Amino acid sequence: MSPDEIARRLREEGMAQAPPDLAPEVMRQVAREPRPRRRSWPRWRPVAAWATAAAAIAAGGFAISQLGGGGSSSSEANSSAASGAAPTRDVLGAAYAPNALRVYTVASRDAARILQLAGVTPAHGSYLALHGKRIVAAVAARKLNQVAAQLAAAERHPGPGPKVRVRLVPRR
Amino acid sequence: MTHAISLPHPGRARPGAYDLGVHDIADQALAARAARGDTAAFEELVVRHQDRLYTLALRVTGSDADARDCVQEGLIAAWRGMPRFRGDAQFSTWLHRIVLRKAYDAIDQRRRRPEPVEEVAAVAPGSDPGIRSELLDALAALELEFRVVAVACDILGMSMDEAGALLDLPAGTVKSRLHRARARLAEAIGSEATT
Repeated sequence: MSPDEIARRLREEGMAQAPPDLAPEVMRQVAREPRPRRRSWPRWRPVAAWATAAAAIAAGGFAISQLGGGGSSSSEANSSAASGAAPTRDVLGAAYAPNALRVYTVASRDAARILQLAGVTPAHGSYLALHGKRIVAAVAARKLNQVAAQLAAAERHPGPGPKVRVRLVPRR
Repeated sequence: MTHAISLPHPGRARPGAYDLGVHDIADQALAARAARGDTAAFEELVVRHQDRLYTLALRVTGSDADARDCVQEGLIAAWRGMPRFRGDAQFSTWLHRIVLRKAYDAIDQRRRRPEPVEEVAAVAPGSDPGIRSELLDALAALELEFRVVAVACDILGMSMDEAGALLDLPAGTVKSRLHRARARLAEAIGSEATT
């Protein structure tokens, strides 16, 4: 028997009729089912998608501003400056944690001590003269992790006296 | 014959308008109505497709009882899932896929828990129910991957593309499997005839 003949015979012999009580039985069950409802979610999906995108952009912008020193975060969550995120390498190849570059709010005496130890000298006057202000401290990239860790510790356990905000930037 | 016209809304149409039109409405429009909870539209879809769905399940599972269960469960699942039918696929393909999945589940369950399978009782409309077709026996003995392609293309008359959409296969694979299925059936019938 040829394949075409097989196909023809299957067409002729293969169809079957559903039992006559099948459809009524199905509809009886359907009647007992709760009515299907379209979820309201799809209607809000475009709005939700835009909202998610906007939130992601805002979060990204906030994160960048924190890294770049635009914020003044002093939360405990961010205080582990030298650990956590993957290290960033500067042009000379020195590695440091990206979140090391945030702003630290520490006692000005602590800031002076830590930065002087790191070989950072203030451009104008002493650190003590900068109470309540923000210092941008350019630290050698290879020392960034160490200085950041010390500042984070000083932030967690603030000493007495007025506070100063220190932002670290890598120095080449 | 089907026309792509919209179904009158039961609440707003003049009396009788809905009932008069329901048989002439395309599947997609009926599906849209059913998705909004219109049981009359869904019933029309059930009546339209029940024979083909039953045939699919019967020829794939080889069991009348399993086929009946598959179609019944498949149609209930379709009713529950109507709001999720997006209309970007053919409604009949979507429905056939649901029932085919149920048929595969039934075969799996039978493999895990072997039971005596009821003989296939359904025969072609108009044929003598007392005569079992040797061709359908050979089809029932065919491996599942070939059997399901032969059922879709030769019995249900689907195109290669439609069968591919049903089975998640490229049309080329459907074509080659169909060719081999027919060849094996021819071989099986030929060997039966000679013994």
